[in-house]
Amino acid sequence: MKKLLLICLVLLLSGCVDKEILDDINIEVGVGYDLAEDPKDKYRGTILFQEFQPDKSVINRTFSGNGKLRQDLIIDVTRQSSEPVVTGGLKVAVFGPKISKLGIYDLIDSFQRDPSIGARVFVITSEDKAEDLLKGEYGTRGNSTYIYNLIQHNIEHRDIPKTNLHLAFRNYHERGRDMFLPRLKKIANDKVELIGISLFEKDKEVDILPLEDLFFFKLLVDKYSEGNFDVQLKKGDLAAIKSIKSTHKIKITDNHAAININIEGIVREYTGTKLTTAVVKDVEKKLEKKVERECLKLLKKFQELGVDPVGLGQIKKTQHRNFDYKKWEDDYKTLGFEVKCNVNIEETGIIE
Amino acid sequence: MKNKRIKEDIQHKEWEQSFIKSKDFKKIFYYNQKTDVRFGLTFMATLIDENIIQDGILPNLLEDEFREIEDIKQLVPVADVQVCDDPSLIEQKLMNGYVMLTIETELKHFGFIAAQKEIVRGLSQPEVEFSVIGPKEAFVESMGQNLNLIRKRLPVKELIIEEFTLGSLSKTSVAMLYMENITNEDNINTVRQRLKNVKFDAITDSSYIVQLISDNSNSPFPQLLDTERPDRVAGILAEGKIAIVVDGSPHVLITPTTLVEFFSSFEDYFLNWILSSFFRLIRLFAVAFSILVTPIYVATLSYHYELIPKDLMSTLITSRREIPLPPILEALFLELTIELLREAGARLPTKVGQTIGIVGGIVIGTASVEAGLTSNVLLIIVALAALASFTTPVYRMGNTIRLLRFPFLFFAELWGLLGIVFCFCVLLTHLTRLTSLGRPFLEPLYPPRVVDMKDALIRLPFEKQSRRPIYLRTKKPIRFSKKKAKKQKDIDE
Repeated sequence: MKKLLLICLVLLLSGCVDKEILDDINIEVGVGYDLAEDPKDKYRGTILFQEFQPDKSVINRTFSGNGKLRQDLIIDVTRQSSEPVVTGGLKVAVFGPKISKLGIYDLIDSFQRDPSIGARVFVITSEDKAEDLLKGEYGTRGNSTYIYNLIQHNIEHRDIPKTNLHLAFRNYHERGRDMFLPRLKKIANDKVELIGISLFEKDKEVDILPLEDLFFFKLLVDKYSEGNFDVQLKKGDLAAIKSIKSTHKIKITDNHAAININIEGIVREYTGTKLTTAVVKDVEKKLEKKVERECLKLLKKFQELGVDPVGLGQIKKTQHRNFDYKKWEDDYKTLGFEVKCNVNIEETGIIE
Repeated sequence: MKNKRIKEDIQHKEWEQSFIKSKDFKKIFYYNQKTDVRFGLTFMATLIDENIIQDGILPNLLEDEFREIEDIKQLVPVADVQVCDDPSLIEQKLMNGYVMLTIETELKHFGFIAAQKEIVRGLSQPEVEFSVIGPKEAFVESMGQNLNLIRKRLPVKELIIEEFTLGSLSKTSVAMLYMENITNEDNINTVRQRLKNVKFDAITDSSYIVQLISDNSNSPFPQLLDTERPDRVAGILAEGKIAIVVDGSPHVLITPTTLVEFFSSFEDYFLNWILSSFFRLIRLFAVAFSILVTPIYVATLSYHYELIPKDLMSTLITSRREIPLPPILEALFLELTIELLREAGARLPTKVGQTIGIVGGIVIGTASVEAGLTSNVLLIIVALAALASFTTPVYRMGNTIRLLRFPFLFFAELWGLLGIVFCFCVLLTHLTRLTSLGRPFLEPLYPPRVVDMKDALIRLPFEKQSRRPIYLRTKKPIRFSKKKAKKQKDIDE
């Protein structure tokens, strides 16, 4: 009898599970938030859907709505959508310039609470309105895939430090560390470009790092496994360094941060006549100098802005007992920096 | 004289009652030319070889001096000649193809001369367990022939053949084979006991024995391995297992066995250990794939769209777009189609069977996709799953895998991936509880026996196989001395 009851329960309770059949739902793949023009609402949101055509091409479809909560937007969009809107396919979340300055925590927080949203969503900021960014027509595989892949490969091979929803959230919550997000700009209806990194203090954008600083920024906060950089030599010759691998070590004593950066790379292109050992030594020296100078500049800048994307506070906490955050906030303003860089050019190609 | 004869006829009729109704019951009287003794031959014409009577029995009995029954031992040139006085044996002997000899003067004694007609199919290639490398003989229906094939491969006196007669109607001879000095005594006793306890009137094949003596007859998993390869039987006997040969069945049973043995083909032992290990792993993967892939498709498409990689999304959505059926019906439709094709293919004669391929491949497959009944992605998945299920070397296990897919599908529809995990737990619980002859069926995976891993998921080289499987608890756990085997005399040091 008990068994029978159990079987009945199994069969009856199964009706309680929500079914979401793949082709009967509208999967949200991208979302953008801007500040609402109407002060009554908090934001104006845009949801991006993909519509797959029989020939496998993708049509980007956007719906917009206003609201105070993230839920309001979905309710708004559901009114316009032919199928139920689900959030599990989210890949990219874009925040417009105004809303990023005002604070984005409540919106990101709601992502984190939605169990069907993955941790690898890319959270980005945009130069212009997020709605416009999502309304472009980039590539053939859909806007969200395009933007996602754009950031993905820039993280893997170029100068964007590793970032995603999970990391942004960690950076936000960890005391002694601040959040940073990649910044995109729509330059034409079918083109979008990476233009830098937004620095946040708590959840408010305070400054933007331009592209030129990204190499040094990544050296400080992340490690390279496959980077590129051009070094300018005395006579105006250029040397391109490829396959850069970097690691950094930060040691903080009471009021002094010693940052050690190790770079390994290969010279692949050189505009001068002959790439002798002396030239290679010169390249190493030049790069070391440049990294030391620029990184120091960046650290000073962060200090002035009062943000800490490198996580120096966190690093100090791991190295010191009885660490006090309150005290750290004052200490940070007067912290002294010392950047040491060690460059090692491993090879220069096969021709000597 | 006349009275006597009538009496004799009356006396005979008591046991002849049923016999005389049959057309093939023959009772003929002859007179010896020298002594004028009148003797009768009684036999079942369908069971005996008339040539033996004509060439071996009759000429001698008619022409030589034949006075009493005992004389036949000298006169008849047949090896199996018996004289007895027990009338209860008559039926059994006649039905086993003996010719009964009676003389008027000795009514109490009967002579029995063996004259069985042996209709034997010639040895053929193994069809179910075919292997490219290795011996090409397979068992046939005749037990004598089969025992001969096994004995030839193990010509030692320790190979014991115990015979039983099972089935009150079929009187099937069943032989239990084991190595006296190796096989565990408990195992032998258990098999003997179970065979003796079989209560079924007609045992026509070894499959009956499988179901009658297995530990859990309600399990979809076969707990006795059946094989048609004499080399495999010889191999497992040497390991210390027990073989059961049933007369009239070309499949010999092996017990105790484990789950992994069902996924090992005997060809594994003919190939280099690296290759055979690789093939075994592929087979195990194929089984998991075959059971799980359609349920995972149904679960993912019905509940877990989040799990689909973004690049796969467009393929899945575009293929599903025009399909009116939900994923479960779509999958059931295709799975059932494949099952139907399989059943039809198995029943139809070979020549007509070819049309099945055309019907299945072109008409049902392509047409149902074009008609928009199923998505082509699922068609590929189901076809691959079917293909993977064919890699199971033991046909009996292949059938089980066919069945297992359906509960998985059902629960995938009910609860998604959770249902698949639930089903998997139930299956695992069942398998851990299952035994074969009281030995754990999942060994060496559970209980974990590292020593027995040498011939389970992978097969290590023969030098590493110096111990018999420990779950068999053999009398001689060591097959050969590892130290001696290591010495290679032809290598100068």
